[in-house]
Amino acid sequence: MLKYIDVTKRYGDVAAVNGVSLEVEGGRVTALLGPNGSGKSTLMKMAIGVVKPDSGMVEVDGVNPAEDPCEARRLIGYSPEDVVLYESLTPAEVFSFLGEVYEVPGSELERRVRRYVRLFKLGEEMGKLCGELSRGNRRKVSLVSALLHEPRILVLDEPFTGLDPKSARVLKELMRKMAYEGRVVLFSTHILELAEAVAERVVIMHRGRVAAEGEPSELREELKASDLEDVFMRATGLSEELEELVKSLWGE
Amino acid sequence: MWLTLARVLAKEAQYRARRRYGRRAYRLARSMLLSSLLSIFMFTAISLGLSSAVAAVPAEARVEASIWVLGVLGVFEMFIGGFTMASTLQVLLADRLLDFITPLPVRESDVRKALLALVVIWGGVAMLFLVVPGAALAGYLAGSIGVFAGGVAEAAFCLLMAAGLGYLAGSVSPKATRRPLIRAASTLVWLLVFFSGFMFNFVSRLAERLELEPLGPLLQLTPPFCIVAAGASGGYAALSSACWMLASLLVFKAGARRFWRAVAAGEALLAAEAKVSGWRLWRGLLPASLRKDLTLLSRTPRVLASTIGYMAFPALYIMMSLTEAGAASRFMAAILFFFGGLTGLSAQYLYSLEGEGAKLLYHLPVRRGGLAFRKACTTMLLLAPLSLMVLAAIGYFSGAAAGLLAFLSYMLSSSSSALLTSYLAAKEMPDEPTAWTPQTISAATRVVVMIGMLVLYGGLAAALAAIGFFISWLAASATAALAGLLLLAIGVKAIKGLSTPL
Ligand SMILES: Nc1ncnc2c1ncn2[C@@H]1O[C@H](COP(=O)(O)OP(=O)(O)OP(=O)(O)O)[C@@H](O)[C@H]1O
Ligand SMILES: [Mg+2]
Repeated sequence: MLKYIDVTKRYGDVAAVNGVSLEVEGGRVTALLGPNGSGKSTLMKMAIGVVKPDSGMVEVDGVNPAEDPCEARRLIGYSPEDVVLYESLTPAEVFSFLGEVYEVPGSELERRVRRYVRLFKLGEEMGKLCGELSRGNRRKVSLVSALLHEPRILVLDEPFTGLDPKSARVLKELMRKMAYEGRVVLFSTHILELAEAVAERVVIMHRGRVAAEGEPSELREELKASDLEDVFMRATGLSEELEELVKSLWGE
Repeated sequence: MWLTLARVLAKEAQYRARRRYGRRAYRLARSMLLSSLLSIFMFTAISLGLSSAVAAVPAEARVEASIWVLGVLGVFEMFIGGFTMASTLQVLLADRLLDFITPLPVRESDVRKALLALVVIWGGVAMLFLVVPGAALAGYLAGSIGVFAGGVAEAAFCLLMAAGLGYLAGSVSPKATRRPLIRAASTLVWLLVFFSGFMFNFVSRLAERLELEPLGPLLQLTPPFCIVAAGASGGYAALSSACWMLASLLVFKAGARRFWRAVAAGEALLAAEAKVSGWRLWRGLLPASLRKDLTLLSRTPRVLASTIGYMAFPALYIMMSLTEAGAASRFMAAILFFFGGLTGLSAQYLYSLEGEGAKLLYHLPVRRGGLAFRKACTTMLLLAPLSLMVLAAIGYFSGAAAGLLAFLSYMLSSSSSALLTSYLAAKEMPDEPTAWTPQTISAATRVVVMIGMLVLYGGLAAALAAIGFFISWLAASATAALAGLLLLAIGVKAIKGLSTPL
């Protein structure tokens, strides 16, 4: 289980994450929503201990990533919003390196890589340098990197960005299956339909705080909203502001 | 326009440096200026030191001597300048500092001017101080304003040439990661550039042997010597100088244009390369992390060349000194120990080698100690062939017993230095992945690692030399082996203690 207990992180005067308490349990996919700069990525980075909270605590299956990031990183499969790879290695070489880092035995690694290469149609890309790959294919390589050690907890920051419909579908099914197996699956996105389609639970962040959380249908009723977009607008208090903006845009 | 651009680029570079250093920002934000000042100081000292030799020459030969000395300084300026410039531009490319400019409606000439301004700030100006103070002194000693004026002109045009060459070299290597032939060729170019620094030593030795006497008319026509000659006496030298100045201008223009094209083409050039079908995961005895470093090295010509240079130079020096005396000579233990220590310093290059991929390390369960240990292992692996050469040379020039002891101390000193360098570099890696850039790590390691290690190994070598001189080679060799062993133990312990994660 991934657990945030009253977590705060400031960058100067900006509170990127402001007193968030949240439990992300296994068994269902959780989507993290929120406007740009609302603190989603910061929250996710805290799970692997690259960002340490100023106050509060994060627990990853009982491990505190601020104290033992290595153990937390072994438990978590993390894919960052900006893909980072060795630009002059091929995906196959990157996977080999990760296999050693995560201590996946050779034959098992081979099996897993073949499986994901087939799923994400990466066959032709495996011999190219990562620096030569298209954006979507880079994303796929990053996702496979996060899955190679079959983590108990998946933390994916905007994993659908740049994926074609087919790969997006594969990823959706993968996430569902991982959740079905009892794993924790947390992902962030700006595409609300996607969240509605995959996630059984959504968490909406606004200005570093959790503005709303729950099952999509619950939230709709609670906020008397017609769809998830409406939920999003109401929870983040953007409905009225948005109308103003649209009006000014059309010059009325 | 171009001034704004230069300011933006400099800000961006500085911002990255600041993120790297966090709270120590204020001290180190000025490091660029500081290092410029440092090199200005150093270059002025070298310049004045060399040109003071003019005073030793009889009055009537002083103009000729000035031509010699200032010419050599000009060559030096050109090579160092070219190398500095090329590495700076490489960092600009590798860090993608220019990426945000390319899509903007900015005129190419403005970008070129901005880049030039940037390079000038980043130490280009310092290059001038290799020649100008010397020109002033030589001009004064020779009593000729022409020598001074010629020297200044020489300094300016050598800088221009250096910038042009730097542009060319800087634009060749980044995309040369795939095609083996280009890769090999650019490694060679980089090696030449790297070793050209040592050439200075050679040239100045040659100057000593020639004793400045038979300064033929040929030299007066050879650039960059001809510029000072023209300043002193005009004539054919002026013609030759004009040609050379024109050539520098052309090289500069061509280099800048080529570099800009490399920037503009960027990824398009990479994507156009041939597809490779079929793939295999790494298998075998060599751990994947070492294999990763070796592969990255083979695909990064500049770092490969620097590493080879760093490793080969001390080994070559050892072999050169071996031909004059065997391992049983008094100072051999000190020489082996010191240069063994120098080869280990090359471990730091394996850190800049990580490039963008370093950010990935921060997401993985990797501890600094583990990283340091692996990098040290890769260094020793790379050193193995050279060490074998040293072993063979030692064995040839001295007996088995003396040779074995000498080689042992060399191995211990080089591997302990690799471990310690790697330890310091891993410790110096920034706390946050966003702060990582190849330049910031190498700047940090250069300052911390180089000075610390040089003091450590230099001091020990001095002590060994004293032991060798006052007691015996055997005592010195034995002490060297012991000291190496001790340092090795310290290195291992330090790395084991480095359990902080990235
Ligand atoms: N390294 C940093 N230095 C300074 N401020 C930062 C840093 N990282 C994040 N912030 C700030 O923290 C806030 C939250 O950023 P974060 O990246 O978590 O937002 P996000 O919800 O992921 O946004 P997006 O949807 O655009 O990805 C922002 O105001 C951002 O400016
Ligand atoms: Mg984000």
